[in-house]
Order: sequence, then structure tokens, then C-alpha cells
Amino acid sequence: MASSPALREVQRDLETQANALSKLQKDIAKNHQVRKQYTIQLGENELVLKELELLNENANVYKLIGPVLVKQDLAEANANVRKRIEYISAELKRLEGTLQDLEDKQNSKRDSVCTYLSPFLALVASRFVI
Amino acid sequence: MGDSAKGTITSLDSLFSPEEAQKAVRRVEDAIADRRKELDRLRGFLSDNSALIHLVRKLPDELSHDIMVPFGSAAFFPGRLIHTNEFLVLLGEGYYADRTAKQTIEILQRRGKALEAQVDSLKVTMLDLELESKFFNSTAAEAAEGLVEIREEYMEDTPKDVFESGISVPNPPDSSKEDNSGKPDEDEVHARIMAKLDELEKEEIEDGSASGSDEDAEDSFQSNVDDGKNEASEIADLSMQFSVKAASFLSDKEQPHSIQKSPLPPEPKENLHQASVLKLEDSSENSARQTSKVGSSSRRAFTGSIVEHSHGLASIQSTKSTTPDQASGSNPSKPVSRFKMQKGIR
Repeated sequence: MASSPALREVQRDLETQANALSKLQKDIAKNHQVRKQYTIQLGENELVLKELELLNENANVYKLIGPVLVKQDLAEANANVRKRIEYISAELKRLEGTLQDLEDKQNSKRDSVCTYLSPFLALVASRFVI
Repeated sequence: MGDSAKGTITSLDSLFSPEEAQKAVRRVEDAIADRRKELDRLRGFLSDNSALIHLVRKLPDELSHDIMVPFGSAAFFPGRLIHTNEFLVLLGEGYYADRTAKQTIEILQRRGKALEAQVDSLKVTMLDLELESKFFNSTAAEAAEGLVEIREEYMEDTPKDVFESGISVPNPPDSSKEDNSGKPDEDEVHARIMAKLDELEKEEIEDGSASGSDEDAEDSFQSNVDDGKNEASEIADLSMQFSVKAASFLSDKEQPHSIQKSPLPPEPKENLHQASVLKLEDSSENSARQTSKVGSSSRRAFTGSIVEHSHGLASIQSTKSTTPDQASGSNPSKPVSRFKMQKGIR
């Protein structure tokens, strides 16, 4: 079937738009994944912090670093966990922002795909009708 | 009232195609399956946790335990567990703490509580999703059945029109009951009494003309006087009603409404209405007293009731004379018809 140059052009446009859209969707899915992971970590860290606060002053606290347990000061561990929670919270907020951005982009991209789609369909239809 | 002009009918099929709804159902069910898996995982954690609590509680009962120590993944060798009251507990994120059995149990119990909270929230989410899937399912079924959606503009600014076209179905129940139970009964009783009275009067007049005695003549004269007084009071009532109507346009609307079993009971109107009734009763009481002076004791009750009810008659007459269009407008389209008509269309 010898497709007319106009049809081929519209088709190429449509394909690029669709590819961009699917890429955006992939990004959003990845963002969701990462966010889920961070949320789980945040929950874990909060649990740890709670337990650390319940411990006595002179309790032995260790941190597993690689294959070895390293003894740590309780206050130091506490501070570390706090810092980690802070970091994770910031990261979550950032991810939220990017997600918003990506969704906006996705919506606009979807609209543009739709605008490309209708002339394409019209062209195809005209070819088949004739 | 053009019913078709006001409402729009869209078939549900055109809004949501059954296939799309089915797709949505499938998607939600996938989500539910995911949640169920997660729930099972959490339940596994919970049971592990309780088993561990049980074990930790029992371990310090003995000074040492004979156990099989795992050696790699392939072999075990016999060994002895000592220091049964010392635990190195993983708190999470690579942090460990030295704890006694009791403290460990406490930690594990807290962990169990957190897990339970997670399970609960997950259950709630699942319930939500299940409802959603049920909704999608019903939507799909309805769309497949060919259900239509009917939309109508709600005209708030023209209560009279709304009333006349008969959308008075969702009435405030209390006021409608009041009107239903009160007014029509009164009217009925009133009509009956009036008929009876007419009969009695005719009899009296006939008696009077036949016998021609002075007493009877006087009696009939008295009844005539009574009639005249009644009429006068009625006229007074009428004029009073008219004045009340002139005073407020609202009361003009209120009158027919109350008679036609329609509520719309805002306080100011009610007050006006009551005020007019009060006035009327005042006048009726006066006339009743006058008549009771002259009239015979057997007829007193009747005259009293006539005069009491004359305001009802007056209001009917007045409404019929003043607002004939409203009275006639309300009749042709009764409340039920509109809804039924649209049901009939589908």
C-alpha cells in the first residue's frame, strides 16, 4: 500500500508524540515505585527512632555496616536516625513535586496526541473510503 | 409546562460503554488482588511475630538449651544455647540493640501493634476498593441494560411555576401533613353543615309560610336575621381577606397553597394567615354572640359553627375569584404525572 507523504508525515508525528507520552508514563511509574520504597523506609526509621527513644542511656546499640556490627553511641544513633528521617521526608516531598510536574506534562502530551490522532484517523478513513 | 424542553435524557450506554466499565472493574479487581496479597504478607508477619514472642518468653526459663546449630544451608551440628536472657534485637535500618528477654518482648509487642494498624488500614482500603468495583459492576450492568439518565433543571426562583407543574412531590412532610389533615376535613365538614343548614332553613321557611303563626314568623325572621348576619360577617371576612391580600402578596399565594394541600410554610406567611384567621374569629365570635341572644338554643351550635367556618368558605371563594388561574393551573398536571411520563418515555 503506497501511503501518501501527508499520511506518512502525520503518522510520524503521531508516533513521536505517542513515544513521548509512553516515556512520561514510564517515568511516572518509576516515580511511584521510588516513592513507595521511601515511604516504607520512612516508616521503618520512625519505628527505629521510637525504639531508640525507649532505650536506656547505657544500652548497647550496634549498627550493621557491611558484614560487621559496629558499636555506636545511643545519642549518635539517635541523631543519625533523625537525620535519615529528615532526608527521606525531603526526598518524598521532592518526588511529590516531580510527580505533579510529570502528570501535568502527561496530560498536555495526551491532549496533543489526541489532536494529532484525529487528523490521522481522518486521513486513514479517507483513504479507505475512497 | 414543556417537560421535554426542560429535561434531557442521556442513555447510560453512551456515557459509559459496558466494555469500558468492565475494564474498570477488572482494574479495580487487580488492585484488590494486590491488596489481598499485601494483607496476606502482613498476616504472615503477624503470626511470625507472635510465634517469636512466644519463643522469647520461654527461652529464659532455662539456663541453656540443647539445639541444632545451622551450619551453612546444608548442615546442622549439635550445640548449646547459653545466655538465654540476652538478645541482640534488630531495630531496623541496620541498628541493633542488646536487650533482655522482657525488653525484647516489649519491642516485639510494639511491632505487632504497628503491624495490626497496617492491617486495619489495608482492610479499610480493600473495603473501599470493593465498593468501587461493585459500583463499576452495577454501572456496567446498567449500561448494558440500556438505562437512561434524566437530567432536569431545578427552578428555584419560581416556586409558583414549580408548584403548578406539579413537582411538589418532595414536600416538607410535616407541613404537608398538617395541611392534608386539617384543611380538607374542615372543608368537608363545613360543606356538610352548610347543606344541613340549608335544609333546616327551607323547612323553617316552609313551616313559617304554612302555619303563619306569630312565633314561627318571628323564628323565621330571626333565622333570616341570623342569615343576614352570617352573610354580613362573611362579607366582612371577605373584605378582610382581601385587605390581608392587598397587604401582602405572599399571603395571596399562601391561601391557595393551603387549600390545595401544598405546604410552603415560611413563618411570615403563616403569621399573616393566622392573623387573618384571628381577626375573622373575632368577628365570628361577635356575630355568634349576637345570634345566640336571639336564636333558639337548638340552633345555637349550628350558627356558631357556621360563623366559625365562614372564613374557610370565604377563603375558598376569594381564592377562586382572585386566583382562578392558579386553581385551574394546578389541576391538569398532578404531582405524579411528570415522573411517570418520563418513565413512560423510556
